Amino acid sequence: MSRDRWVSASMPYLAPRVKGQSDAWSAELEESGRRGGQVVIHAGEVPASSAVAELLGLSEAEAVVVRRRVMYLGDEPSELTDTYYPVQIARETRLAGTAKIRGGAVTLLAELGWVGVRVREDVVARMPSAEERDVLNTASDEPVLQLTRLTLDRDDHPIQVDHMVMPAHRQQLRYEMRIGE
Amino acid sequence: MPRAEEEAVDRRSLHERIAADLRDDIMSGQLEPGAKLPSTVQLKARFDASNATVQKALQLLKEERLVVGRAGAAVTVREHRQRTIRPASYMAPAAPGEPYRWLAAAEKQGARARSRLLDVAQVVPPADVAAALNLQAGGKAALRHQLLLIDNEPVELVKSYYPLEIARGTAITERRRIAGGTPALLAELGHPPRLSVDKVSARVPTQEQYRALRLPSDLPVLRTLRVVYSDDERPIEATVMVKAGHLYELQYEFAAE
Repeated sequence: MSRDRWVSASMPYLAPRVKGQSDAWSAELEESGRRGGQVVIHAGEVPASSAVAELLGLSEAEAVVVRRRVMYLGDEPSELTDTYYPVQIARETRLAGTAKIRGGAVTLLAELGWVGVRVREDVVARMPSAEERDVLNTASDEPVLQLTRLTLDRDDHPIQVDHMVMPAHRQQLRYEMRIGE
Repeated sequence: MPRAEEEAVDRRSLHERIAADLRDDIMSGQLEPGAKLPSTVQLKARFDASNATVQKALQLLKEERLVVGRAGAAVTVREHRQRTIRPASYMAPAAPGEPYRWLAAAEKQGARARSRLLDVAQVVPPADVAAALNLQAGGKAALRHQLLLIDNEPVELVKSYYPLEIARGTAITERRRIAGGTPALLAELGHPPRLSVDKVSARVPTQEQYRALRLPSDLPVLRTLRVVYSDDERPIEATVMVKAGHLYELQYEFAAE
């Protein structure tokens, strides 16, 4: 069971891919020898929730661009990911559309001049809402891991917020740290 | 949007579902610390529920230490409901004479924090710990089992395992507190911590965790398996940390290479 687990490491998601390289998620899948994919279920502008607004340094209900995706591992949904961008970054770009972005959103962001250099991730465990349980197809008493990732550029400006919800039985997070450096 | 053939049925009772929605409002910050919860009348209307059901939902949240309130007074969101743990701050060895960093940080926030040593033993660890420490099948490790308390409430159950070659004959196998903490001791013993790898998961609490953390209801726990390596990638410690999910969040910060 534990051998089967997908160990998620966030670092590759910071780096833009070089030309012709697949996005970080696809690369991670290939490496693990597993099939998977993602479906963009919505992309466009929405009013920011208080939590998203605070992280992006905006006022509540100010417009943000959201990309809502379901990630699949094999045939199983493995993650719900909502990514939020300030409108001055993503409005009228491919980030605001549902078409697949070659090389991934991070690469497109870099082409647009926005490169993340620092990340803060908050992790909590909770029970899923009825809707999340429905989409993630979780067991009745299965908790979820919720990961909120804030990405900052070199001037410490927030450029992206990811809100991820993962089934506890299928996902864990991995963090490595060098000590005393 | 992918969806099941039929809408999934929420089998939880109404008061549990009401508590779940209010809990989400609290955890997400929609209802801030110190804020009043909507009145019973408002909650009855919002959830189409009886007075008794609303009271049962509120009782659940009180037991979870998320809200406080007496009969006849408004129910409010507790201050400091969810503590943020930043693992990076606790990795380096504490300076001699300094208390365990985690507890020191909690004290800085004005709380009274302490640890209680529950057990020191030689045991066959769980499979993931045994694998992390490169133990042979059925091999034993030195265990130090602790409960951390803040303001006398149990908040975290900690089981640290050490290879016997490292722990034997040291303070690690003695049933008393290790002055300065184990990272400092390991460094003194010639095994300075160099790399730490955390694997974080959400779990349904085991019976032991449920009792030790005095969990109020069916809430998940955050489980961290931390493996600490010294030079030459030698594992020197594997620790399983279990925290009540509704009281804690973990925060990791890192930068691009």
